[in-house]
Amino acid sequence: MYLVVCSETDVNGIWAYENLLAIGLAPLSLVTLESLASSTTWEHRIGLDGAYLRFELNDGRRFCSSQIRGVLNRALFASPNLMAEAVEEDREYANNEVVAFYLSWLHLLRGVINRPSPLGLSGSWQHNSQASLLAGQAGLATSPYRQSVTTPMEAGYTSLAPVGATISHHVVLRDRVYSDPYAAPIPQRVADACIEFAVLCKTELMGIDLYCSNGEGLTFAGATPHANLMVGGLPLIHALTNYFRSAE
Amino acid sequence: MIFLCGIPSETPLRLIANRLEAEGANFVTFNQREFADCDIVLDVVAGHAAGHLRIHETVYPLEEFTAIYCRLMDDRCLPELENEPAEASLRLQCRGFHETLTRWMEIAPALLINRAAAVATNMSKPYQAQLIREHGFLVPETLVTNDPALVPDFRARHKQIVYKSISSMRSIVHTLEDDDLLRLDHIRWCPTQFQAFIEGTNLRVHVVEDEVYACAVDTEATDYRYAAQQCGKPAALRQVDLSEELATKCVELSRALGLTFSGIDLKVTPEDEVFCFEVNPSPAYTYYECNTGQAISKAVAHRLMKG
Repeated sequence: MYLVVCSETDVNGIWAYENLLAIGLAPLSLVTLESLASSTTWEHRIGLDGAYLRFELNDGRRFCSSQIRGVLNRALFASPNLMAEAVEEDREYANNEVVAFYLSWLHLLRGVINRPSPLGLSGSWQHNSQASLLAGQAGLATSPYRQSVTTPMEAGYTSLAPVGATISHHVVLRDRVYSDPYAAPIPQRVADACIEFAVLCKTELMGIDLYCSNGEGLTFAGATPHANLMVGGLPLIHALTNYFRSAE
Repeated sequence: MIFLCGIPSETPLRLIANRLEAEGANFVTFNQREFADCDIVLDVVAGHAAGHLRIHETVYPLEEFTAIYCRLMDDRCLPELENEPAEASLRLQCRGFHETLTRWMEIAPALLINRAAAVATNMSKPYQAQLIREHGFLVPETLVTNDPALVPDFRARHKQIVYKSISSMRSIVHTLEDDDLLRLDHIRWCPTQFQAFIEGTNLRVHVVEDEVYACAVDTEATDYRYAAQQCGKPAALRQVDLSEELATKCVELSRALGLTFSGIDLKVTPEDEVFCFEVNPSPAYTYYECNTGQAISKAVAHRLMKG
């Protein structure tokens, strides 16, 4: 069994589920974060025999780790629906508990892309300071990044492209870059740098944004483990299918 | 130059500063409580981090720091902000300073004790338990569940079980007693972690890169940190020597988690089996150093001096 784990509002996750289903990846289930929040049963064990997971959703579907062969993991958060039940003074504690729990059960499953990380349930999120550094080290053109006491917090995760710049989205899956087929292809050296960047970030499936700068050509604008999958179209869906089948 | 940050009177930071001073090392300490008279700018250009840090009158180029020991407390809880409203400029300045400081430390080409990605392995105990198990240690049988029906069976199988937080938020480990079964239904709201109680001797092993400092903790308490509360007298600590094999395993585990300095919690059973409970990435080692005389702070200071 294969799973797509995403929010019910994640259009890329839903699109991937529908297309993976259409090309025959089976059996495939869509498990939304919202449905996980109302799971009737969670059973997660760790011990001498390894790690194990069993859960049952409100709609009666049951899942067991031994039957799960691959997961497209787009878990961003433990659903806020769940936290709404906690009293104010317990909410932070409860949220930490649930995120820690999700990290553990996602870690034990086989064939998970992206692997969960303590710095992000669907892969590590890179702050712009770190992303700029790694992008430069990977060989991507970068604009200078400056952070100081007066830099707003949110600037750490917003686009590095100047206002009004045209941004192109790309997806790295392991050793290949998937881009909009109707746009001009990116030069091979830029594609190679994107792949190297994903390696440095230890993220197998990564979205990378580039913008066209006058002096530098295609320049790094940002990256996310929560990629815009639709950009990759059916070639990406086929590559994901191959990924899951080869992971067996 | 070595950079220390946190609150200088906090003992883990103070002992290392004392050691560095005794060794004549070149170091500077940033006192979080004096953030208002400090400034920092971080620049990232073409794959390199640079910038400067000002502490009072003195400005330090960030590239000059070769090693960092970080004991920052949550800056939102500093006493200097106690009476400041949420959007007060002093609060924003404090948050902005600490945010820039921590972002620089993460990407600095210097030794950092310890990096965020390594520290974060401790944010989920069952996740870290899986990593620990993957590195050859036994881990206690663990059940995380929201199903009250599974707990009595787990308890019956292991005779005595404890419950504790899943996340790194501090909680007191308690034995599950008969009275607790009456409120077991509460776990339906949030999966809860139960663990087989392991009989034996608690060991705390501090690893400083490839140096190992082990001490045994003698107590009847379920959670030895709270021995005085749980059984009326504090735990007794004594230095012990580990077998070469176990010491090597501890070093390898610490390294595999990306930690230069760690505190590993073990328990040795009467049958000589070694269980690993947790790896603390930011150990408050002074409790152990002060009770055993182990020179943990000296080892950390020496590691910082190597850069």
